[in-house]
Amino acid sequence: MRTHYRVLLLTLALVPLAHVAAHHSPAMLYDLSKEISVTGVVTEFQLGNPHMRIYFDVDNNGKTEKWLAEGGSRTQLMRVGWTEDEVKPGDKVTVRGHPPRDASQHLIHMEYLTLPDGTEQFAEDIRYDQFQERRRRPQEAQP
Amino acid sequence: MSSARLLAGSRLSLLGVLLASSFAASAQRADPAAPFVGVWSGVFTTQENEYWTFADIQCFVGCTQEFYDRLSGLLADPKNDNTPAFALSGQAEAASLAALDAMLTPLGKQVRAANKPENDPKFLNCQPYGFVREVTNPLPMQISRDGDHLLVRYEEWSLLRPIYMDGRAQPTHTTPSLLGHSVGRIENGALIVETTRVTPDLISDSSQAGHSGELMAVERYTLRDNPRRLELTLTLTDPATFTKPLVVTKTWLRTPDVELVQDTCSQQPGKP
Repeated sequence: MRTHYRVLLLTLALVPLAHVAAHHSPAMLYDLSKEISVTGVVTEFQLGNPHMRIYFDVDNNGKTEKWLAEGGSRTQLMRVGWTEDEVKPGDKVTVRGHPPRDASQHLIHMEYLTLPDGTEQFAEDIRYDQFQERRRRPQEAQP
Repeated sequence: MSSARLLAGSRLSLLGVLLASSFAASAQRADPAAPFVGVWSGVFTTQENEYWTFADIQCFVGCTQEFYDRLSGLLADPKNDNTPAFALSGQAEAASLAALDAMLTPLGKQVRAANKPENDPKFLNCQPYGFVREVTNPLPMQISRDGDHLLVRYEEWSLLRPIYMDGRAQPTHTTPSLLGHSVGRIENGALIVETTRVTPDLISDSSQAGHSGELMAVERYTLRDNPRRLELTLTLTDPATFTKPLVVTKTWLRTPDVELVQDTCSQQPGKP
């Protein structure tokens, strides 16, 4: 039983990383039709490539849950002013974005991040919600 | 100064301008690769551009031709006008993954099963990934002239890639590398680049399929719309892993105003 539990823990620990490896369309991994907001305390921030990650602890009625927020690409965020000190361990932040299709995972596709001072900033490469109604068919070149 | 001298001087100036224009035009004609030189952006840095279709956007990180054509077909069908575009994308993705699965050799299937991104030391240590994912990455790239050759600077990982345009043959003994060895030529206005000697790697993150060291890649870049749109058709031939060539596509827009950002991620080993 204990072995099974360890295997399960190991599996759960590995699954989220599978999602954050390299660039991918979030539509494949997350339910873009839903939005969730999660508040917690940062344990690690990585302005990494291909995706920025924030690891944070969430207090769920006295039980600490380990969450991972996946945001935009390193250089694309640097292009709009992000630095490696944007978030620090110990910061209380709120992450707003899309839940994973597998709702059992403590994983969120981060679109917006609220910093300890209350500032909310965009944390993705592109605003995926705007594309749902984009042109479906090619047209002549724009002038 | 006499009027005759003034007239002679202005004629000389005019001659100089004409000669300069002529030389510039000749230089342009002499370099058929010139239209490809510049900064090219994918969706990330041009997302507000109305030029993009939904299929282009869904293919922001490159996709198989199968996926792009299938999704474009679904989107073009009036019967699907009331179906959310993301749902159609899901249908196309499932079908194209099934098609890819069907063309994998036994070794290709083994490679795919063995690819575990969570265990990939390159990912965990902030090391650049391989040729196919680099060529189709979603961040901007800059193509410039480097003497007789072309030099591609990718913002992704800040990698530099020479493309030798002087007609040389592919080497047979060069040590394989991340981006391999590339020779190029202009053919009927298209930039054709052949790449070999690539170290085995993934072809995409969504499929987890990979290629062997026997990969032969042919990139065909074509310009459309004066020439605003750069389209890539990337044909991957690797009999070790694919039973037939796999075709991948991706599009960029010309963006002279976009500056590439220096990516220092790989300078921090162990700290992605």
